[in-house]
Amino acid sequence: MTEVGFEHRQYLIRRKVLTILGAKFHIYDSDGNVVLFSKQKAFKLKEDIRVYTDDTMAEERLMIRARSIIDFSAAYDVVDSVSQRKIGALRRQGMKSFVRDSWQILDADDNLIAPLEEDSTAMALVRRFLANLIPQKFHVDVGGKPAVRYAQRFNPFIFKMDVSLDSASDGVIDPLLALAAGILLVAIEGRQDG
Amino acid sequence: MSGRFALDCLECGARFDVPSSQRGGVVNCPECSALQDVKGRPEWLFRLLVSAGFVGVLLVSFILYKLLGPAAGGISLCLGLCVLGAVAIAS
Repeated sequence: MTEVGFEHRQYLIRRKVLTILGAKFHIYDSDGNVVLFSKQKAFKLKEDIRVYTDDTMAEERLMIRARSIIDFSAAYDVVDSVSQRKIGALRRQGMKSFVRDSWQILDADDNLIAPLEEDSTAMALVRRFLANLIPQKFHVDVGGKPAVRYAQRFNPFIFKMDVSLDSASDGVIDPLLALAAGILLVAIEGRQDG
Repeated sequence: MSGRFALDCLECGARFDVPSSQRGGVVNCPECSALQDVKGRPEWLFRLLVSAGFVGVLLVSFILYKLLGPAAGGISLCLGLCVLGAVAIAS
């Protein structure tokens, strides 16, 4: 399940906002090397995020594509561009996300692997109604154990999110799928923050 | 949302079932593994919003035409149609 080049436990997603052209994402491993890069187009109604191995954008590594333009519970397919294999999907739970951002990590056949949720309802409400400067945190639990954690760093200017893969994710969640979820969190949920 | 439908692989011709929830997405053929686009549902809500936008542009342009004259109405119509055109292209 562990992809070559994605054996690290810690990654950092950094979003650079370009006002007109969209946003750029750099994903670094724990040694500080860029392992993935993406450029999100600003005027794309049906989200289609292409992720490359570096910022030269010569080699595509991942494709994250929405299934529809407008969907209350939008689903995004994640494809390994090298093997042309769909590695899973991510579905935003529209109704639940009003209060607390909630996603589902699905396998290639849309079976639930694990839910991905914001840390707590209380904190989610505080962020929504009082101060969205409070960094967001998400977690994925597998079998009651933390498998993947996403933690936004406090930085009002540059969006940075740490992604930590714990041993409970081994053999259950493809690291590329976990990183795709992180990119979507930064791209979709981050967009709501402005 | 539930249910399945049949899809024919464009590479090997194999017919296989796909969950309805995957409409608009992609799947791998179980026979040859080729990545296939799954035809999506008509985006009714999107079409409705674009149609409502078109009616809104006509209405606002007509009001501006009556209140401020043909130039204001014409500019409003052109701007509105440009925005709707951009939305249609982006989709």
